[in-house]
Amino acid sequence: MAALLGTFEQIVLLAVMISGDEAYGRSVLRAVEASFAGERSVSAGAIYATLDRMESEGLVSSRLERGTPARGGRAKRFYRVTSPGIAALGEAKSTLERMWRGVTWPREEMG
Amino acid sequence: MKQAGPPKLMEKLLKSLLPEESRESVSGDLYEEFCDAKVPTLGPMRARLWYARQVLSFVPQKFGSVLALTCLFTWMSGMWLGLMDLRLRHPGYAGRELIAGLIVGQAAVTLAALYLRRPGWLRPLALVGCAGILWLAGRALAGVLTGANPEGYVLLIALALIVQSVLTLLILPGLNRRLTQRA
Repeated sequence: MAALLGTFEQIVLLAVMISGDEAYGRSVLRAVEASFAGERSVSAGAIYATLDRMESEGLVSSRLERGTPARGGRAKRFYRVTSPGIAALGEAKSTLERMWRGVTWPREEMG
Repeated sequence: MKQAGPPKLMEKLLKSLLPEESRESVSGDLYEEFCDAKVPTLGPMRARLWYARQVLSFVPQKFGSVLALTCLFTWMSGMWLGLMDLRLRHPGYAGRELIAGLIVGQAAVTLAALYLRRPGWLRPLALVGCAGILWLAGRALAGVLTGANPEGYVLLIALALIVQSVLTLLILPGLNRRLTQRA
């Protein structure tokens, strides 16, 4: 059985999903930044490292397309969540939901 | 008017940090974000700082484990050196005891910040201390290079402190490692 996805991996996978057909590095970075709502800063290095690792694990796939003048003619890599990626996300979601069912939130001791 | 692109030096550094297959796509993504979003919202100066921060975030990926080991080794060496300096109490170097004490304290804080699971306020404290050590070492180095009687010992210590401070400043933020680690 594959390891359970980490929180950041789930966020990146969801960002790829949300971006749909237009999921490329920049759109993923922006979606992740938006998810943190300014509470955390996120670096491009962390995003691309996660995307690379997930691609090598078969959770996402990518295709390279020709660049546009807006990006100095540089090629653009689009990402897509694969079936194993969707399955891994589903597993992480249901595991968390099962665990949360046993927790009262917010905790009383938090005031 | 021609819109300014990202700093050329940083673009070169980025390309040198990336593997061949993602060089164009990643630099293109950052170029697009820099020109379309960051320059209009942050202004050219802060946009350049943003770009530099993004480029530096690729350093741990490329050199992460080597940097961490070198960093640990240099801080341990610095701590040893400082402790020995305090213990031996060289005559005529009263000011050096303070510096040696600072180095030992800073090394201890940095090591704790690097390896504790929840470093909390130790991380910013270590970063500030690290910048202080870098400044101190820079001054010592300048003093040696411009002084009439250059002291090899001080030159060596200053260079070692500069190297370990730069390494630590690169590693200490540690956001990538913490955020991307597996559950």
